[in-house]
Amino acid sequence: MNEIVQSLINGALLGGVYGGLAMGLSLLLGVLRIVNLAHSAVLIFGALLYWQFVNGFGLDPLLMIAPVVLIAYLFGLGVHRGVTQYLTRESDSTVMLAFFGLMIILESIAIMIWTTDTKTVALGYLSGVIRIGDLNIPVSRVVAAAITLVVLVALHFFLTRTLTGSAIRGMAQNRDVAAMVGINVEKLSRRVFGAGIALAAFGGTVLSLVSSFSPQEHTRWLAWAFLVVILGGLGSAMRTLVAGIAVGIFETVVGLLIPFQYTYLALYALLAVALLIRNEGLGGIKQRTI
Amino acid sequence: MTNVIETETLTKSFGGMTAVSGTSFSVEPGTIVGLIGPNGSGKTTTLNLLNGAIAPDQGTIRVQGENLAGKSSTAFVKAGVTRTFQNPRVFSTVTAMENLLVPVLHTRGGKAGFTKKAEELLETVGLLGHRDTPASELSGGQQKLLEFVRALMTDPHIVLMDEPFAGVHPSVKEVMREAIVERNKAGTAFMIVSHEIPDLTRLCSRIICMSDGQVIAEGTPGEVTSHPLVIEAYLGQGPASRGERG
Repeated sequence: MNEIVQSLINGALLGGVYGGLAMGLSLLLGVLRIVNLAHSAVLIFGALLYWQFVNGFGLDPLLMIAPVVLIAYLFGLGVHRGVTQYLTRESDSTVMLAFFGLMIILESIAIMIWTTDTKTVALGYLSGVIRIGDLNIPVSRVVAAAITLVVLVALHFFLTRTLTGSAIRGMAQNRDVAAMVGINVEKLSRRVFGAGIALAAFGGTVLSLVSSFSPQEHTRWLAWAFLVVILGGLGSAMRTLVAGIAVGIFETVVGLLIPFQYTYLALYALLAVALLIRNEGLGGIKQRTI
Repeated sequence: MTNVIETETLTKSFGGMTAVSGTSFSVEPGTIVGLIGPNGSGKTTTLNLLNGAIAPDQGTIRVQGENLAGKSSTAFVKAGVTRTFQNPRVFSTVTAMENLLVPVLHTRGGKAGFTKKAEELLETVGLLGHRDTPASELSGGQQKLLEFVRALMTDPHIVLMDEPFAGVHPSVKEVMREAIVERNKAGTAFMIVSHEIPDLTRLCSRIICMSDGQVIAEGTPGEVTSHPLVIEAYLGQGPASRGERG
């Protein structure tokens, strides 16, 4: 019984992190219709940068999340100015190819700088364990899930309670009409893109608190992010969080029931079932808006 | 006084088809101008040109004296030109209130002030009770009214309206008509594309008729509706087609 409760808690906390891991992908797909294949590369780049700050420079693990996110945001603004803004009217396949290219570039740079070695962030004061009866809950996992919760709730309120949030949701529905009512869609798109990239890097920082990682295995997290996005729909921070938690719990509970090596198979089966039930796949997602 | 909108030799082609051909006209401040013409005469293309949705192949579009031809829709809104569509294009996933707040994102002022203004506008068309209703849950007529007041949020000099009376309940039509008149009294000009000629003659001080992408008649409602070229354009027969042109 304890094992199941332990798994549920672990899964929920891990799932919270998965929500953070997927939010950037969801935002860019939902608002800008961009299938950001470079999402996981940005995520791992963010994790590596974070690792560099914490392990390399010995800086505080909690305080270093914000700088990584800010750097990623500025990088996102630059990518938008240099690349993305020219892809607005291009076909989906062209956009995907462009971001596939960006993924390769980021991955190569990451490997050049940090090699392919697996990295683990030195958790420092976050490395303890909370004991409740027979349950052991890693502090780092609680902190990562809590930070993700705060960020996603803040994003939810930003999107639903502010003028800019309303404009973003309007632009998500119809970019041309948004321009015709006076929205500077280029400027807003640039900021949303920056936010999407920043959220991807944020996902990398919280992921690195709960898991080791290496530059060349980032596509695994891309699949995870897509799974969460497909389950949760586009652009909604709360639905993304719930979907992330569902995936986390599924992963840990299934891990209890079947041999570890089949866990991923079960997760991809869940992805297939999700697509079958929703009966719309990526084409359907493209039609929906936040 | 500078015209709100003034076009000269405005031309737009799509492939081999010329939709608007060398069109020149103007709209004076505070007037309501009707734009009529048979299907395919270039009315909607003209509206699309006048709000920057598409760029002209040649010609000028002066808004308050400044040539904006080829500029973005955002530039036109900034200059004081807003519009509505034949099929209302509200943001269906957000509430009626949010629909009105979206256009003022880049306008100086606090959200509280904009919210009050939006409430007043919703009140004028009887939608205040639906302020928190997602636009997708409003009827087609209500969406037209919502789109109309959304176009007023930025205090435009002119509102371009494409078929505002088409397919709506007579009561909605009356609310729309009254709202246009009220706003016009406050100085806002309107250019209204419509096939509902009786509604236009009630509202407009001037009517422009287009056919085959060109302005074929311009004047008071009485002058235009009795103009032989207009009758010919609509009915395919008349004095003009019988060789009785002026």
